Amino acid sequence: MSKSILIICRSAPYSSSSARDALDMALAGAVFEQPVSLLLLDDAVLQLLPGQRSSAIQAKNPNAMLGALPMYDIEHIYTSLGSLALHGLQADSLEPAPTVLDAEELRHFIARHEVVLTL
Amino acid sequence: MTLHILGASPSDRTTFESCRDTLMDGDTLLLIEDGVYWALPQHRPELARLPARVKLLKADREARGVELEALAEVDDSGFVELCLENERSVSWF
Amino acid sequence: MRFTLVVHSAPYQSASAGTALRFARAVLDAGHQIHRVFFYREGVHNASALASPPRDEQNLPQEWRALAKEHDLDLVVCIAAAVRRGILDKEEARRYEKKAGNLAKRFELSGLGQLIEASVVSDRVVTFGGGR
Repeated sequence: MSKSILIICRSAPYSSSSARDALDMALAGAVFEQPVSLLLLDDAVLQLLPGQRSSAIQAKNPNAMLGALPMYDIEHIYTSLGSLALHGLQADSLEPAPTVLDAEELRHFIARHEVVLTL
Repeated sequence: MTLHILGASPSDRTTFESCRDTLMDGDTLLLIEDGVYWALPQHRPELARLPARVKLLKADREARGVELEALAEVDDSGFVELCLENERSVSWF
Repeated sequence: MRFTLVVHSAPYQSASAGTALRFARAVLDAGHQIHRVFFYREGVHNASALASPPRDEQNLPQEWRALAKEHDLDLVVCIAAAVRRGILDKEEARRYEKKAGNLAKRFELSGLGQLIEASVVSDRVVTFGGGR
């Protein structure tokens, strides 16, 4: 049995454990061989800023793990045009490079999944 | 069809806008917890422009002293019914 | 219909911890099944046996326990989230050399796989969060 699972994270990387918890959910889904999409909305797009060095605040850098998701068959990290615009970012300056959904694609994205988990 | 469950107050514009931007015709928006403050007169015009049906969770609305007026509400069993009527739910908080 | 509930918030942190319990009761009252309640992130604090609110305040761990007893609910607490935050069963308490465990009765510690399994087999999955 298999279900498409969408995980929506909306938080920046270090203000809470949300980014890491979303990653752990995504990895668990992949380990149990479910198709998983990870959508980083609003502040969560900041998880993709390159050059994060978090050792001085004693926090693990979730950005490195995001780059490893293809090894778990999670090929795309999604964000929205609106989330990029919120922070004035360009997709090609982010790492790993996200797949960007325009307004119309975003509107239809949820309906493409059977289960939606938010955090 | 999707049930969107919004628990954030109108002061959290980003949460509202992210929810709003994923609404499709036929979806339902259920306002719970501080989300019921969207039913204050100040915020109603914005609610009226949404493509989704809007409902409030009765216990949360009553607790917060928000008038229902022309809006629709459900009790806790109605919340369960809404989950059944829609194929999936998305929580915004 | 079969439901799974995901609880992300602690008692006192967010109203959603209480909303989740009310929703669970409504699901059961309507004659539906709850496959699992999965406590993640700060939600693990709903499983503390040490929570001691004043008598005239809601005691969420106690109410979950009573509901689980009545309906034989599967209350699963994410083990990685719980142990970090100081919610341990006896076995974990031994493993980390703590004096005692504090996981309330009727709750069990397990992995995120339990959330994935529940998502796959349930007809509906509802998340209760707040305080991202």
